[in-house]
Amino acid sequence: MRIAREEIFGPVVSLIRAEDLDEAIRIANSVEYGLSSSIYTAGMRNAFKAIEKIDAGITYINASTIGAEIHLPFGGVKSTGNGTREAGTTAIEEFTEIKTVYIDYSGKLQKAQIDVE
Amino acid sequence: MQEYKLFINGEWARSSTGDTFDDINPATLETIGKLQKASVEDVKSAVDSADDAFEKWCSTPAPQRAKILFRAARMLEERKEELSRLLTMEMGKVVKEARGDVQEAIDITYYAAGEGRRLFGETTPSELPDKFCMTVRRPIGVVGLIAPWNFPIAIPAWKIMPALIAGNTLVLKPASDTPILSIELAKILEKAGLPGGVLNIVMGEGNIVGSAIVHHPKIRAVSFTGSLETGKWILGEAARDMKKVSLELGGKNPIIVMDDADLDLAVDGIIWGAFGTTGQRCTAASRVIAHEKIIMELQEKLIGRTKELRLGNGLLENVDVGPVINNSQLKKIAQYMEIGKNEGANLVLGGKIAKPLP
Repeated sequence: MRIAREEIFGPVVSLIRAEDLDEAIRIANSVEYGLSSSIYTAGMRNAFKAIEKIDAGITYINASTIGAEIHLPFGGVKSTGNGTREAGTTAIEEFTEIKTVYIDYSGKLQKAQIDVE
Repeated sequence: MQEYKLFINGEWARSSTGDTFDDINPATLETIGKLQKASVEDVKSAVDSADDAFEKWCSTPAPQRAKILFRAARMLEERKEELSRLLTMEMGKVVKEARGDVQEAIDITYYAAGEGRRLFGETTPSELPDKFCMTVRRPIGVVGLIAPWNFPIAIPAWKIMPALIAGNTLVLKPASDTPILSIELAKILEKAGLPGGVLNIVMGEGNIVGSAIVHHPKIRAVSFTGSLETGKWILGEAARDMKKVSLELGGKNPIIVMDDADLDLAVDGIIWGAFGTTGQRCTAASRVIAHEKIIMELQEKLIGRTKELRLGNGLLENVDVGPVINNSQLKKIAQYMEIGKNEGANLVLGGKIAKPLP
């Protein structure tokens, strides 16, 4: 159903039945987006399985899908983004380029991969 | 009526066309500000000023750049309540959540300022004697930032602060529904000592202003938060000029509730996740996938708690859910109610526009 697959961006929530955790995770992963996710359970096994198997950038255990803290990476998989993450140290990745620097203080020509024998 | 101008090269400027647009409070439908509407020419001026400012800004030691951010963070803290109320008037979210929005901007500003004394590179041994290897971080250059309306100050700050501390100069297009909080943020940075041209703000139509940012050859990276459709378009356009792109797009976020869950705790999380910010978050909980053993009990509890939610003007402390941002979003949400019914979904509560717009 479109109402349970497409982003509505409003106060609408769909309630969907699942017979066990495997089916619940299958339903969770059946949409094109993968931003946040959550599982409410008392069981360690369920919690860790959800962390491993839900296709999302963020998984909460016994907490809602909202509530990001600014010093952790924020972002999602699949159609939610292009692999980058905002906030946290990943924000610095987002807005910098890396320059690799070699400083040779031997005073002679040294050839990488060749002068190593 | 308060007027808000474009921010280009450290000056508050009128649009080259003289066009303006109104910022509407979605709870009262009152106009809270008149804004200059940027043209393609204005975007070019903004990019040129960012380009001119780059050399000096990127040569300023990062801990010196950080001092400006620390000052801005303190000013944001001092003005937290005033900005939160303004944010509720502009965007509609309840003032308790607006305070969270402003707090997020404060947090990221302090955090990014702290990065001014880190910005770590790496060192590693060379395979040759008397040779040293390392990486250093360099700014990208002029960066375009395109922000959504659902977090009018937090998301612009998430983009602006790390980009500034890294030494980039910026052209920001805030959302047309919520430009005022970005302008207030720029005023704070200006007062904190940010040199002219380092941050430029151009508000206006996405297909004019946003497009001009994405296409400008001097823009070397684009950070966008918004819809999947626009994000895909930006990625495609930016690829032609090999611009770095960072996208934060949609979600259809699930909450799984297992048969061993604390159902009252789960209901608290579902209500907060689904109806907080009137569901207008990219991380909003929009699907609850419940174990069949507890689904009926969960549904009953959810209906009970949802009925207790008070809708209204978010400035009132006892209101739980504020208005939807604008009429076109309201129509889109209402349309999904029809789609759902036609597809055979079982409507258990709501499904109607609580208070239609005139």
